[in-house]
Amino acid sequence: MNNRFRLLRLIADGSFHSGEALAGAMGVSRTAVWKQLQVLREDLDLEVFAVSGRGYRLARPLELLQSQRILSALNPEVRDRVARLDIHERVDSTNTWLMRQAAAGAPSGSVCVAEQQTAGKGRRGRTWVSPYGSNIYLSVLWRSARPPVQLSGLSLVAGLATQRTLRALGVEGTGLKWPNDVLHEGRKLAGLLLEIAGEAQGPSHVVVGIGVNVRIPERSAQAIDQPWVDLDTLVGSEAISRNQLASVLIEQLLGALDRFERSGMQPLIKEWQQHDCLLGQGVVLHSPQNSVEGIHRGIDANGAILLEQAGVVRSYHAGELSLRSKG
Amino acid sequence: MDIRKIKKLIDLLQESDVTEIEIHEGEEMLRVSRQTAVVAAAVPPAPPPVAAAPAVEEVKEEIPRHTVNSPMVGTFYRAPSPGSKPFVELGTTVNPGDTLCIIEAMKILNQIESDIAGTVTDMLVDNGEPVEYNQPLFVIE
Repeated sequence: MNNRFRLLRLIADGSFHSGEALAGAMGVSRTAVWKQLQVLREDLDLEVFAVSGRGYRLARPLELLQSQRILSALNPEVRDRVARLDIHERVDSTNTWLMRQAAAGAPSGSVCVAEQQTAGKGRRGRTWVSPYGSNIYLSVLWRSARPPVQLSGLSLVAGLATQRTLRALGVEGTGLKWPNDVLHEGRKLAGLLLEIAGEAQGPSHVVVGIGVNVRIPERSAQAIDQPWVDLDTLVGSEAISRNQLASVLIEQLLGALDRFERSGMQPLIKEWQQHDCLLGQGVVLHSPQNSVEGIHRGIDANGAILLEQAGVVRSYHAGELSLRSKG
Repeated sequence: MDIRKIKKLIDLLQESDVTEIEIHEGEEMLRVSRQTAVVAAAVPPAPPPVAAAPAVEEVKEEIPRHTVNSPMVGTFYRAPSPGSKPFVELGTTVNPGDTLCIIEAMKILNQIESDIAGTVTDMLVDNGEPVEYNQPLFVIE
């Protein structure tokens, strides 16, 4: 761990630490400590107070991710399914990292979590804003006997697992938007992106990437180009332990992947539709080359969306869904 | 009709911008054309038309072309993100495992890899187009 992150762990509790004590603990000069604090302010967008005579402290305490805390909170059966858990201070993207590991032979059930992503991915070249220490960026590698064509429902199943996680932690009023956004009153609370590689006839491997907004710092918020909300706003970030959130997420996700591998999407259609924010409403499905309008009639066993147009219901696999504007 | 006369007519045609010359001599008719399309001779008995540039029929390939097909329904993308460089172009040499494109559906990105070594000789789908299951995307030879 480099000095910056060692220092951060020392002051993460949010109380005052003298420059001298920090220098002593790290075995560096007080000037070096001061320089590293500048880096924390600028690079990691953290607010650090300096009070003469008392030392330094973080404006808000940070609960950093710890593999022991995450693993010990897992139900033992699920813990056995976690092949490995890697926690990164900083990574390009947990998905990209895990796809690389998958290509090098990483086993099914490998999990990767990061405090910060420098190239967090959204759909089609969009960025997933990923400031340090404040949200959850988690990816899970899953190896399936099914070919890629049979894995499309997994996208919706993973979204449902994320929403179940939030419900389990007492976050109420969340819903799903096809294919897998987790929303609260129309604002995005969590997003997912899956990456698949494999032979057309199977087997395949899939990396499920999940981002949950726990607390978006003000400076990062300016970079987000869509309505969003974080857990801090909904329930107060003190009420949510990031380690616990990661733990429940892993548990829900591995459980969902297991069930999907056995019985597919069919048993989950009903539950999914119960939480579907836009069911029964007039919607538009935007694709790069055209848009279709219709009434949202639910989803099918492949995870495709069902739209009714002029009394006929058709299924669609691709496109970006939005509420049809009135008027 | 004298063969030297025909030769002369062909030379004449080649030196000029004229695409077709038709000569009638009694019962005989000759049409010399530089079009490669087949020209119909209306008057019998007509000698076969002489083409200045005879069309060469393309040799049918006997080896079936190797195509890379879409493993799923979705949207076809040639580049990792809008505005970035496409994974491959016509003429790109690829090895097994090299990424050719991305098919996206339901927030699932599927990186399509080449299963053989070769050269990309045809791209069958445009960027942003919807593709069906098993639809051919690339020809690799």
